[in-house]
Amino acid sequence: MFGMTMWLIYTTPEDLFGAAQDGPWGTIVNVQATRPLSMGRNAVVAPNDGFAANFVVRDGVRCACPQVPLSVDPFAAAGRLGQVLGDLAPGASALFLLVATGTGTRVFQSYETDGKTTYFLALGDISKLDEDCAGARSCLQDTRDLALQHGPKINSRRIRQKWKADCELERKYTFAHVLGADGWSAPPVSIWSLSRALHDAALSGDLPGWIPEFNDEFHLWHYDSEIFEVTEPPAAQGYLAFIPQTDGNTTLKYKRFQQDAELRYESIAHHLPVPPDQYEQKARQVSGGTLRRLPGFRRTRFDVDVESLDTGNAFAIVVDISRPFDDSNALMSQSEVEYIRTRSVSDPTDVMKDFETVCAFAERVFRSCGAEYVQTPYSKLSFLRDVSQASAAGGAA
Amino acid sequence: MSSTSVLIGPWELRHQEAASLQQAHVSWLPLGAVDTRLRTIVIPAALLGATGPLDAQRMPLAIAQRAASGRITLSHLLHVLDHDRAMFFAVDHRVPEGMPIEVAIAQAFDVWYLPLSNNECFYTYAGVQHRHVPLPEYIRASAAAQRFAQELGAGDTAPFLPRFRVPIRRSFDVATQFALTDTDQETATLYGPQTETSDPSERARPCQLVVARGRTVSAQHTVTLGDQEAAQLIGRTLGRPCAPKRVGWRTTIDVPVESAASGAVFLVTFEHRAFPDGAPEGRVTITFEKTRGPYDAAVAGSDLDRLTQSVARMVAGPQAKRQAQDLPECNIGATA
Repeated sequence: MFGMTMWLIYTTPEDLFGAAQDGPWGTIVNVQATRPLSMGRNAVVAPNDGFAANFVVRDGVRCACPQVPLSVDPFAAAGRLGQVLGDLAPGASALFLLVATGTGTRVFQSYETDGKTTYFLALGDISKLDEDCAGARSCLQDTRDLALQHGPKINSRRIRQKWKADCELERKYTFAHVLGADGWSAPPVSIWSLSRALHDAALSGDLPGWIPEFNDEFHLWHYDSEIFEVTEPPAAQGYLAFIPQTDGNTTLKYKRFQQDAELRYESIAHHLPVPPDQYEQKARQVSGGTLRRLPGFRRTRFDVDVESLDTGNAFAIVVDISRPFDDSNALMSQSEVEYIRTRSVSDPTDVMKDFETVCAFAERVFRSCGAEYVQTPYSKLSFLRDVSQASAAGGAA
Repeated sequence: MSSTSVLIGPWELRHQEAASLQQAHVSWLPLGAVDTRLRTIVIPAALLGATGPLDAQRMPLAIAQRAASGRITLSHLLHVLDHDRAMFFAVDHRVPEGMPIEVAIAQAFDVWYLPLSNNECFYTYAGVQHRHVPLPEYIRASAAAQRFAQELGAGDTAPFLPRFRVPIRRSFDVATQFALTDTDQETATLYGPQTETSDPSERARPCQLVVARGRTVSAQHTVTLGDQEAAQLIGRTLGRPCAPKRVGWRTTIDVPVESAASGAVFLVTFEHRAFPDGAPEGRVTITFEKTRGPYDAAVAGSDLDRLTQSVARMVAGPQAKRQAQDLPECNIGATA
């Protein structure tokens, strides 16, 4: 990326959208990266102080400017930036990053900042902007057209979209699987250490072309689930999980599948006013099927979310421990690599390819940590059925 | 003499896995001036030891106050983490005399594990409230948003702070305005997609319907175009007749804010809208959304008023006027 031809366009949203059809609306600056960027076809993540100005384009003409660092932080004070760019409007920031691609120029729009770096999202390609600046006016026009085309989608955050609505794609790895024991047993892997290793590996470039998901890279979860298996009819088979919320309401997950698999139907509803004594009634109403209650369980999980800079596909790598509430002393510890969303102005692509990439990455980290695992579709439902059966048989597996 | 510390130790203590530990041990890291009366406290990585909040073995678990008498109170427990900060939530859990601190931490988390277990569960929703501050013509919404974000980040508006892990967002909408024909003074404006769009996903997305008399907002709704025509949708939603008036556009910058003192969560929206046949207008909307932890109507109302006053002061302040004087003529022309 050092030596690549790159441009920043400084402007305000008011000037961008309020400009006349072919009128000027921003200040184009030819820049060089002074610090490493994370760059892909779909996104660029740049340090807020990662650029220096080479020259400014004024009225389509290349003009010299002081060689000072430029900020791309959308909400930082202009400071020396104002001195460099001179006529910068109050509130202006680097709204676009343009990167030469050989035959053309890829336009990225400033999307979010975490205070240290800024995420630029790809909108599309426009004609090449050469260093002689001859195409500056059409560059502004084409960039504005792309912003108008994709603005509404970015606006409503529908660019965080799902590949298949109501489906869950995940691969499971089991570290420990105890159906019953005389006493408490600890899992063989530390889920915290493993999640930290995954996060560190994602940060340190062990997954080239990927980043920890921007502004959403790590989660702590700890919750209870009350479980109802749906045994009939076949189309409704699977299970419902009732998860109590702090406010007294309930989150309800319904996973439909006839056998353990990587792709299952899943629906999630939050904030349902369903108290625990109405779980069964609600389960019957939602599934319309025959129910069997299984032991509830407590799940502790840490999620490391990663995102492809080429496709915008994001996956959670979940590391968890589940312990049933009964007196079985059973436990299951697993990791799941789960597709969660795609951040892109285009429709999701290459989800299965990216899924395999992230799964392979997770397995490499497990092995490097010495964590023994079995890749298996074995679900929480199968586990709870087995715990229930073992308890009924009066012995531990 | 009393002292305040961050307690750092094995993750199992906060996740009901303490029984997995042969020997738990926590470290006490002294903290400087921290107001432990706050509902939330965010501690930066620099104060959390050499490896910060995401150490491979140990995590920041709690903030403890040790009184001169020796009595220890766990004032706050860990709520959420990111790579360089940890947010703690107030619990005021007194440690029984003689109890090892490791046991006390595990017990405190046994009580609080659910609300502290993830990012979203510990909110109380009690009705959304709005306040509005008009922006003078000489102040751009984007410039006001930038300055507000800077003041917020610098702590100048304490106890109002940037929300943890919720970034500032910009957006663009088409503004379709209708005259309410049973009065000559009110308009209804739909902010969202182009109303004639045939894109199903555009027609399915929620949009904002704002009823106003002049610049004063009298009602606000969330609606979806679906398969209805816009005029039909607005007529049905408001129960009033309307007719298309004009089409323009709007940009907004949403700055998420949280009160560290009360846990109240706000969105401060800087809005600029323009129609081809009129002068552009700017305004700031301060929205109370929810509360992190228990809700108190009086506190939420007073916080909303204080935050609104703070925004109004910033808009009217000397810096804003100075900016107006510096504003080049061409920029005024561009927005007018």
